[in-house]
Amino acid sequence: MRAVDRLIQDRLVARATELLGAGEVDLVLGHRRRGLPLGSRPAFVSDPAQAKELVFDEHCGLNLTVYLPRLLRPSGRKAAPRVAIVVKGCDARSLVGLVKERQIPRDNLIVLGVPCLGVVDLHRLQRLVGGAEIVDTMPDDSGSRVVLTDHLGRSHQLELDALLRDGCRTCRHPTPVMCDELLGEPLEPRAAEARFAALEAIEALPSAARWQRFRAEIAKCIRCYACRQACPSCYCTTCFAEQTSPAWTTPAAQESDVMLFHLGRLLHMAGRCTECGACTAACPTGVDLSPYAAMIIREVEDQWGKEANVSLDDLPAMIEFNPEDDQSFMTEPQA
Amino acid sequence: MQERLLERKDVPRFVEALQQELDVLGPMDRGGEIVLGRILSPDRLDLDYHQIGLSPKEVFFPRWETMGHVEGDRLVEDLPKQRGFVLLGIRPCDARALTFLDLVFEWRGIRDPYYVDRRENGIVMTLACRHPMSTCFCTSVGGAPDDERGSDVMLFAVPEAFVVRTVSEKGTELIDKVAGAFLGEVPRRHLDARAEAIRAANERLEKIDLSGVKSGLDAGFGAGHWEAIALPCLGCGTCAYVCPTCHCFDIVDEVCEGTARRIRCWDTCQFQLFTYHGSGHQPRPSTAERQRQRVMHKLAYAVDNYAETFCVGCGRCVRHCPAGLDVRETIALMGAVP
Repeated sequence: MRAVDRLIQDRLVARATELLGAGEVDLVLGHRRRGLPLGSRPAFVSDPAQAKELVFDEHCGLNLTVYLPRLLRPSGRKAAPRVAIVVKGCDARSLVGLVKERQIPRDNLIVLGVPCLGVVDLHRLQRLVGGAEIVDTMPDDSGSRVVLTDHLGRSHQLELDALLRDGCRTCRHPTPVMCDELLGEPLEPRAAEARFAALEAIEALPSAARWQRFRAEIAKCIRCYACRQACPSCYCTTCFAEQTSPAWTTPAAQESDVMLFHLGRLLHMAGRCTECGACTAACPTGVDLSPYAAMIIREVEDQWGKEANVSLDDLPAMIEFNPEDDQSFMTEPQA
Repeated sequence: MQERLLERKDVPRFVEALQQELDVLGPMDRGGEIVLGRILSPDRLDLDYHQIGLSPKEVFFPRWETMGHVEGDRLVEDLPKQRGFVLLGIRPCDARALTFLDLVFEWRGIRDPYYVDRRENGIVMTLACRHPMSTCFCTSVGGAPDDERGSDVMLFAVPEAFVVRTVSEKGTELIDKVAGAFLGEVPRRHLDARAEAIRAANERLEKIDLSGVKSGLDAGFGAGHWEAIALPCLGCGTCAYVCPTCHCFDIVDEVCEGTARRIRCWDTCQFQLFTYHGSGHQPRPSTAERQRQRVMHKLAYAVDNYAETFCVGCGRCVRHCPAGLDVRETIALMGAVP
């Protein structure tokens, strides 16, 4: 466990215990261990005695803000609970988006920000250990390595940096842009040169190869909607992919329909995606469309000079009409 | 029932012999994930894997299929037309799951030809388990690492070879026909190695107590546990789609450029639309009701309807749930309801 994370975890447990004990919040939403050696799962803690279950480490990849619209909605005569939520840098941007798009109220919410050094990509880890089942992790306080034991008793020593999600390695906002309390020292953004490396690699391919690459990724999809459900920005009551009148797509998984769903979803994220990686992490079959999301992000940033959801004070790029926007793309009709 | 030895070095020959007669589907590596695919070159077959990510149900009950198409004013059935095939190297839990799907798709004389025709065309050769995963609990639901139900042939990995046991008539016929020439006697030491491997696998398997779960689920329907259980649930379809026994489906008509076809595709009680009434009423308004439905369908209603628990303990839902829901915990909690 990284030493920095250990400090944050201790502070988090202490603060959560305080907040719950003093009755300042009804619920603390954080991360806890799951029934497997790796990974984590959400913790919904309402009893101060259970605050010690809260963890923060390189496995806390979930974007917990996805639960807020549901949690903060008053139900029947019960008022909505007062919630404290643990957010990493990317999660905080999702929070900005949810507040700006009026999906959650800002009040009755205590935002506990944690500066994040990056989280593990479990799909990548699985590939690096050749499909073996990891049954144990050994403590390694170096902070830069993980030592894993597999089902045959073999030890795997891996550099933590090699296991991080791609997005984490080029993260520009490791320190939450929005929070009420910061539970650790602010972190510098990571090197940004490689931010669009995966996308550029695809763009360097000839057209036919690019198409086949996209098809190969889409072929893995079973349209379980884990990506959509894990995404805090996908909160539509009826997703376009589930509309029946008109039926843009069937619920089946024909290639064209699967492509339509993903391209539609990514386009709906234009100017809103916070690069948190929740979609890719949630996918049970290893679909990774992040380079295509990156293309849309790059396009929006190039066109309108705005990064999605880093400020509460601006409108999302695709919602705002600014007369100062560059209009050179409009051409005169041919005479 | 017969047992013969297939040496590792003869596996490619075995696969090629099968391919003379039938298509061979088996576990293979695709970009780091184990998937079930058509084996063209024998060296693509992976018999050292843990578990296939998705279940083999997709071979008989595909993610989507065309049921029929319109010709003039008639709907013409498009029944599966395929060459005979062998499912080689799937796990006993997945084969047992197929026997549960058989109960659903051919029931009281009502026969689903899309599923049943495929089943009749396929021969199942399972690979017994040596290294159950930490999420496996087949023995707790009446299964075993060497459970024969659903298998026509069962393979057991032993040092540098496989013991090939024929289970059904179909399996015996096929093995005699294609491999009789190069399968040998099984030496005593391999029988001992196998017995030890099975014993070790059984010991490694987590034991979960399901004795109270059926009555606990029935009694606990309105008891309020489900809100807490399902609080982290994101409402995706991952658990149902990776599950080898989940079988709900939707039927839709697709009209395109003057033609129309009828499509069947997977559906899941985890989606909001599943029980959404045309009137606007939603009888399962939250993840609590929907999660309760899924667990009860498998562990209570299936027992009422088919005298079987529709869970084979494969652990896929535990491993793949993006929100960390764990059916083993749900079983423990509901099993304790008086």
